[in-house]
Amino acid sequence: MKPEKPQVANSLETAVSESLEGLAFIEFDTVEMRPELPKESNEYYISSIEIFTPFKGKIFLICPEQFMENTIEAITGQELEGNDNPIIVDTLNELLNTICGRFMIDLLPAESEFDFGLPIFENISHEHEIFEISKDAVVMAFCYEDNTVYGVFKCL
Amino acid sequence: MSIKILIVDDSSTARSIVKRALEISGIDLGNVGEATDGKNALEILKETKYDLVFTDLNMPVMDGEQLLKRIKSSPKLNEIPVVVVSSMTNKSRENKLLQEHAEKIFSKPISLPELQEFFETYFVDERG
Repeated sequence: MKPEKPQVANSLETAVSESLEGLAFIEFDTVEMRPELPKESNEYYISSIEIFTPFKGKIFLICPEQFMENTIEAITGQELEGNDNPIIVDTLNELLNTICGRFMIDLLPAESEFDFGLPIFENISHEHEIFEISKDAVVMAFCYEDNTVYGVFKCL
Repeated sequence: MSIKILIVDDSSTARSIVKRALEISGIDLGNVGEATDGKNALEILKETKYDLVFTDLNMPVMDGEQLLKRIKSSPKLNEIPVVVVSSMTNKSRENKLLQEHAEKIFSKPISLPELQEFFETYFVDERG
């Protein structure tokens, strides 16, 4: 099966919104589908997770640095000291792991089997590489104060 | 009576999330231990007595399902209730875990009302 774009967009919106609200008490100001990721040089942390069953796909979570620092504080109750990369990687991966589960539950009919891998922190920093992620993908933009978080799904 | 709980997850963030949910759930929480995978959890359980184990499923070294099986097949540990907290749950997997004697399965992110309901039911049943 290959999921339809509108269903993917709805499920991605639900999964990201519910997960961030449940884990970090963040309610996004606006959520919208975008044709592509921005070609800008903002600093982002990026994690991806591969879906194996019942379709092949990949979800990316792309978070601005400032957003991640605030989110880590909200989730763990600990202030981030300097550029604590292991905590950033762990929190981003755990967020995406939770999002992927919610996404599959929302997208698939009840009692469907699904399987996905472990989240991987992506070493992508150049804006061109980030933009490339959005080719043939569903891109959802989640705006919170001055930050925009992106959830991206693409079929493999 | 305060409850001693062992949280098993390879993610320190996930362990913090479960710990915080337990703290604000209103239960009388005693010692909270942490393990990074199933093998680590079994080593800790050999040394320290816990009343409950909360485990993730998807972990390196030894996953949560293996841990559940090992606890339930051990004469020394099989009385410890095992609660699964995972993003990888669906109905058929839940049923399989329940057949393997998991006490309860929570989907991530763990819902506080659901957690409170579990403890209310669990302690009522425990008191008979």
